[in-house]
Amino acid sequence: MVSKLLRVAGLGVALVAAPAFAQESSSALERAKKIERDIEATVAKVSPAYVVIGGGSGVIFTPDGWILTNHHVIAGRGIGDTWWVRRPGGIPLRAKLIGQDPRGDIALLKAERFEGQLPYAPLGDSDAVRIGDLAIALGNPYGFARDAHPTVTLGIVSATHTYQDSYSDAIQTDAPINPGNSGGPLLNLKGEVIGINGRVAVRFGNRMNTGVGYAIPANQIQSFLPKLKEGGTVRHGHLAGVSFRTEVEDADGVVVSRVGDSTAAYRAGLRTGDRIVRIAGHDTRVPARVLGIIGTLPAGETVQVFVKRALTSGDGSGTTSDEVPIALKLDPMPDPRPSADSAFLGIQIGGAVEGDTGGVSVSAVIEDTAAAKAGIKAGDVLLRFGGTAVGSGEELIALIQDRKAGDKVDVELLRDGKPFNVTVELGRRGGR
Amino acid sequence: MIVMQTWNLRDVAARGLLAASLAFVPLSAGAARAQEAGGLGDLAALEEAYIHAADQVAPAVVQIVVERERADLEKAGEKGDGPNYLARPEGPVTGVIVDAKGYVATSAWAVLAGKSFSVVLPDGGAYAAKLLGKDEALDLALLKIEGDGSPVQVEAARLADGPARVGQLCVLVARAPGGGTSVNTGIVSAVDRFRGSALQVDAAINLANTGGAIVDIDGRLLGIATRPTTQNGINSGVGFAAPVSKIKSSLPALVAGRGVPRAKRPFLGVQGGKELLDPPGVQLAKVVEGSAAEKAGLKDGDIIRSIEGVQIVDFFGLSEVLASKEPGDPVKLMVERDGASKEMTVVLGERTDGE
Repeated sequence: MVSKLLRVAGLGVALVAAPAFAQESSSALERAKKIERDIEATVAKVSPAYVVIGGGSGVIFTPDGWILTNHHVIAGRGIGDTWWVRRPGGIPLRAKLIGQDPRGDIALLKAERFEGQLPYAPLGDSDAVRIGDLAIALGNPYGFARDAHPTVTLGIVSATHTYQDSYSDAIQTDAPINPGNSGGPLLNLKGEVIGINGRVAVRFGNRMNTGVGYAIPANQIQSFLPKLKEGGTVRHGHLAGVSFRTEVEDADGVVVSRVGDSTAAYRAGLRTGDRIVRIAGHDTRVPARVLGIIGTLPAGETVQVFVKRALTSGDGSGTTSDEVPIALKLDPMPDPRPSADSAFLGIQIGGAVEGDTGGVSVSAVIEDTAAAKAGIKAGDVLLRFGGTAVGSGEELIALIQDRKAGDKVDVELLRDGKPFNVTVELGRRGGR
Repeated sequence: MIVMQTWNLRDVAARGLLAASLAFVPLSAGAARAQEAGGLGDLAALEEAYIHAADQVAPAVVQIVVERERADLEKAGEKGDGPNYLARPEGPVTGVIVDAKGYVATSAWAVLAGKSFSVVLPDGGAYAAKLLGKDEALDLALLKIEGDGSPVQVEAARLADGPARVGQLCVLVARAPGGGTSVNTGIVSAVDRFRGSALQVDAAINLANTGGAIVDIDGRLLGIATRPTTQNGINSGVGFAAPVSKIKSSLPALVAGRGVPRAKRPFLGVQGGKELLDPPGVQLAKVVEGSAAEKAGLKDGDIIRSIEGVQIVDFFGLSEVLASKEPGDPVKLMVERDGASKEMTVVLGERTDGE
């Protein structure tokens, strides 16, 4: 018995006498079955909260029918669109698109016209997730589930707070994730949603599980939920006009290599050479983490940043300051893939203009666009758009994206140092 | 659709990999500590349970060496399935002894284009075997160990009594190409896939362990691993198995040498269109010429509101109702055309390949 067991396991030496082992083995089996019951119980609890949304997945996370999925799952739908999603067993549920977060790849839907309360899996605390925790993924890989009963896969949390560009603070899991898992929940053993699965790291174009899947963390989603529920498109925060020295991990913080002096960050007190040691309570040692934390927060939010600053004493010797707190109001991050319907001005942006005036330079004006019709020319400096001071190219892009085609907007500019105003009637991005 | 991406931030990738490898440290360290303490931690207990389960079924897991006709492989390529399309496995495959009389179950795909078969028992003894039959819907094949005619002592797998449960632990036991045991673990991802003909697992099914035994934590057979789901044979974490309940009901026919043909599937003959919200229904883009739907008088643009009294909001719902029917069955549809509703009865046709 023992030799057989060890052969299967690929181990070498038997250290335990057979009768003792048999006893331990039986107790091991009972303990394994306890783990199994825990997993089954969690799966049974959360599966009814799963929904199939087109070719992807979603999860009901409140009893009154709020549903999360990936933005890329609902691509092509507009805010206010209503359609059928399917619950396990193929039960149809009407759902309306309320809010979307294209950058964070999240969409918020609201179930309509259902009776009573819906089964749900609540959002958990993704900052409490530990590397090595068991993780359960629900999804519909390859669309096999015609009856909408989810595919349940098990793995562990492989990493937390990983920076994957627009998934700036992702949970990495080895629970198998495949096409069709998008928008489905990643759950802890308590049955709480710790993230929304959305991406797989792949090579060579194989669109399938590699053991490296990424989920958008629940806490990031929480910080956008109020705005998503208000409806429309939310914008992520970012620090316009601030760049970082891209060295590897540094326990002394992330060095700010440049802060444009017309930026909001500069006005708030951030300076070139500062070392960012902490943002919103999280230690920062690599630039990716700085971008990661900021990327989980909505534009307009004020975050507490702690920096250390090199000081020069009167005798010329250098010291480092105590931690200096700075309250930074986050600039809006432009939409990575604006739709053809979005508003269009028609200029190429040269960059932020340093100095007292601020604004961004216009490097070119595209013929036959709103900007050209309004008389904006290459070399002009755009100071204000619709009354809002423009500190960076991203900020201007975000301001334009917040408008609709056809909107008339007052624009304040400088030409050869002289201010002037024009009113532009914004065009359609895809309509040129 | 999952958004794919490659690693393009090298330092970040390196961090991710480091974190992934660190993830295993607490587990093994925890197990070691638990063993040092003289008891078993929960994870060490799980290890022991996996080993125990594999050990229970291992004597019934055999290797099948298949001599094949190459023609079938080439045909698959000619059908335009692409260069990576897997016509069949290349090396030996796995089978499971399901009856001590010498019956070996495996995946029908695993023995595709097989001319002659030899079963290698765990003790290394090799015996000629005969293919008795296949159940195509289950991707199941049954072989009988024949040898030289003298009785061959074999041990059969214990079969699970009840149905598999979603979330249940499972162990996939197979013979590696070299003949040793290969063990993969996972959970039951779903049950009753493909109208009950498959259970789904996330244990890694690949080329060599197709036909292997998927057992519960007690080592009782839950199913036989069917062909990999990906065209290149690489495991995706989505694998299927012929469920033991279906194997049991298929066995008598296979033992008697009668293959089990695919069940006839019903065909209504309507194609895609709009899913309507207020009121719910599906508007037909096209009614297939010569189909049951056309014969019953359905036309392009008709709206199906319900079928057999079940409200229809999408084509999945429609196909779910149809899946419970057989060719020749009459089904009642509530149909709307130009604002007028009427009930229609359609006698279902039979689905052939490509429909």
